[in-house]
Amino acid sequence: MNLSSVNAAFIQHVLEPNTRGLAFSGKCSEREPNRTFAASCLKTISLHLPQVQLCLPLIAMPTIAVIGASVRAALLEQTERTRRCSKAEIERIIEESEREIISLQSQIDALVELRDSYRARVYALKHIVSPIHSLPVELLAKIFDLAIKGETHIQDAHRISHVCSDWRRVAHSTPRLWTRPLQVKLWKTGRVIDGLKAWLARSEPMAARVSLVSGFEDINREILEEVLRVVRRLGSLDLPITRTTPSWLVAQLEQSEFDGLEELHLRVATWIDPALAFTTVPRLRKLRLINFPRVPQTLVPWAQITDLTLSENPHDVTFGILAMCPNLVVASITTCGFRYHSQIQPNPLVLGQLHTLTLHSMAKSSYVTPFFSHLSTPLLQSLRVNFRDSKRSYWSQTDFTAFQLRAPNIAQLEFANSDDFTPGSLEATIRSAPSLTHLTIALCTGFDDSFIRALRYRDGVPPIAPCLQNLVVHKGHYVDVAEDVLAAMIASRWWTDAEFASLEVPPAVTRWTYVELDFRLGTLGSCFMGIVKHIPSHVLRYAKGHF
Amino acid sequence: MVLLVTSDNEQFQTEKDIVERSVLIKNMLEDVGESDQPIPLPNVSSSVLKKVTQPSTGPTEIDVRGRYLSTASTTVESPSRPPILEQSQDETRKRTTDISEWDQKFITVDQEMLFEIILAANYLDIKSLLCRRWLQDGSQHDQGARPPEEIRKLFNIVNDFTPEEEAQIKKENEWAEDR
Repeated sequence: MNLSSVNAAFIQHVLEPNTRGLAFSGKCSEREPNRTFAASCLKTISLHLPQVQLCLPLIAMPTIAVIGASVRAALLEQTERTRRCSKAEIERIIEESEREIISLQSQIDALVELRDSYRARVYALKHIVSPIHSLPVELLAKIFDLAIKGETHIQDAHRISHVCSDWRRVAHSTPRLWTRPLQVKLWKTGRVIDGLKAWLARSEPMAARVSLVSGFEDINREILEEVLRVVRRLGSLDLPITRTTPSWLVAQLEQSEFDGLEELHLRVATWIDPALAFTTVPRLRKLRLINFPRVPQTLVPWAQITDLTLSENPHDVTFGILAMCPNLVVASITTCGFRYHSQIQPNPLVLGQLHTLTLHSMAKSSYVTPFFSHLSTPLLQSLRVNFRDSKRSYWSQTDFTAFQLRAPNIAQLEFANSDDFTPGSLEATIRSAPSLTHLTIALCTGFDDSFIRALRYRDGVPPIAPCLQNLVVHKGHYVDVAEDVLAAMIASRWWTDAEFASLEVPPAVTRWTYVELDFRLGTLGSCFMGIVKHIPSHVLRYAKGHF
Repeated sequence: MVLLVTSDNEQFQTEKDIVERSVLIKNMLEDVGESDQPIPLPNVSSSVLKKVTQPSTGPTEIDVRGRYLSTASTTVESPSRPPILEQSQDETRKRTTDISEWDQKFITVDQEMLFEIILAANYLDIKSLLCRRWLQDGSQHDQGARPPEEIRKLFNIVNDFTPEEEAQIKKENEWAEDR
C-alpha cells in the first residue's frame, strides 16, 4: 500500500500502537524501509477519522481519504451481500472472516520469517564472497592508513573501525592508525577519560602525539594522569602556558621522562615569563617556541635541536635562541620587521649546519632585510621568504646581497606575496645565487619583461643562474608580460637530446626539468604556444586559452 | 610515450607523465633511463590497466593547479581524470571539485574489478587510487572517510557487531563528539 505522502513520524505515532491482525506494508514519504502495520490500523483510521484528523498534517489527508474510500467500498459491498441476512448470520460471517484473517496472518508471518531468513542468507553469502575479504590484512591496514586524513582523523579511524568486526579487529591491531595528534582538553571529565584511555591504548607501542589544552576551568587530574601514563612514548607534545596553567602541572611535566619525545611546541601567553626546563628529552629534535619574552636558557638541551620554529618572539630572543643551537638544520622564523635599515654587523651569527631557512614576514612599514644582516649560513641550500602577513615592508637589496655572499650555496629560492620587489632586485638576487637550481616567484611583483629578458640565455653571453632548471611563477592577475619575450626565454633554455647531440659547443645553462606558469586570471595565447610547442607537457605546464 | 605490457600480453602506449604517477613505474624508468624497451607489468591485467589509465572524454588539458582545461575555454573545471592522475605533483594542494560523473562510474565497477584495481594500485604504488575512491567521501573531498553504512554497501559488508560491540561503538561516537 502506498503511503508515499505520509511522513514516517506520523505512521509510527498513529499506526504502530494498533499492530494486531492482518499486516500490510507501506512505504512512507521519507527514506525509510518498508514498515509493516496492522490492518486494524485501517479500521482505526476510518473509525476515528475526526480524531486522527486533529493530529494529521495536511499533507497526509489525501491518503486517509483513499483508505476511507476503500472501507466505504467494502461497506457498500457487504451491505449489498447481507441485505437479506439476519444479525446472527452476519456475526457468523464475521467470526469466519476473523478466523480466515488469523490463518492468513499466520501464513504471512511464516512467509515473512522465511523471506527474512533468505535475505539474511543472501547478505551473509555476499559478505563471504565479497573480494574485499580476500585482501591481505597488511594491505587493508595500509588502505585504512591512507584513508585517514589529518583534520578528520578521529572521525575517520572510528568510521573505519565501525564497519564490521573484521575491520574493527584490523583497525585495532594497527597502532599507526591511532597515532595522529590528539587534542586533550584538561578540564574534561567522565566518559571523555575512558575514550582517551582507549584511544591512547590503541596506539601502543607507537609514539602518541598530544596537544594539551587548558581553559578557565579547573584541570581534571584524572585526565592529566592518563596523559602522564603514556609520557614515555609521547612523540610530540603541544603545551600552552597561560595564566590559568597551574605551576604544579608544569612542574609535573618537567619532571617527567620523555624518552620518546621528538617534537615539543610551547606557546606562552602574553606577559607570562615561564621558567621551564625539560631535561629528560633524549630524542627531542624539533622545537617550536611562540611568544617567549626572554631567552629560555635552560629550557631544553639546545645542542640536540635540529629543527626550530620561532614565532612572535622579540628579535633579541630569536637571535639569542638561534645562537644556542649550533646543530640547527631547518629553521622557520617569523619577523615583525626592523624599524631601521640595518648597519653592517661585524660578527653575524654563524649557523654552520643550517640547510633550510623559512622567513615569514609580519613587517608593517618596516624593514625585513636586517634579519639577514645578522646571519651567516654557509651551507644554506633552501631559502623561502613569505610576505603574506606584511604590509608595506621594505626590502634592501644591499643587505640581502651581502647575506647571499655569506650563503653561497643557495640552490632553492622562493619569494611569495610581496608587492615590493622590483625587476632590478630580483635580477640582483639571481645574479648573486650562482648555485640556484630552483626558483619560485609566487604572487610577487618584479617578474616583468626586463627580468625575463635577463633570464634569457644567448650563445656567447655569460648567463645568469646557469644551473636554473626548475621555475615556478604564480601571478595573481592577467598576463602582464609580453608573451613572445616569455616564450623566447623559456625556449632559450630548452633543447631535445638530439639537438644537444648536434651542438658543437654545449650550452652554458642547464636544460629545464620543470616550468610552471600560472596567471590566475588569464592564460597564455597562441603566440606563446607557437614558440614553446616543442617543449613536452611534463616539462612545461601552463594554462592555455583565449580571452 | 612509455610501452607497458600487461599480464595477458597486451601492449599499451601511455604518456610518460601519466604512468609516472605509479611509483613502481617511475622507479623503473629511472633505473632503465631513456629506452624503448617495454615495461612488463606481470601483476596487472589489460582490463585493469585500462581502468586506471583511461582518460575521460571532453577536457584535454591540465592546468597548473592540477585541473582540467578545455582547449576552447579558460577555466573549465572538471575532476574527470583517470585515477592514476589523481596523485598530482603537489599533493598538498587541495582539490576543489566535487565527485564527478567519471568518478561515480569508476566507483560502481563490479566487486571483482574493484578488488583487482585495489591490488593493482598496491602493486603499482599509486596511493591515491588505493584509498581515495573507496574509503574517502567522494562527494566532499575534504570530509574524510565515508560513513560505515556507505562503506558496507560499497563492499557488500554485513554489520556483524554484537550488542556489546554496538554499545562500545556508541560510546566511541559519543566520546568523539564530547572530547
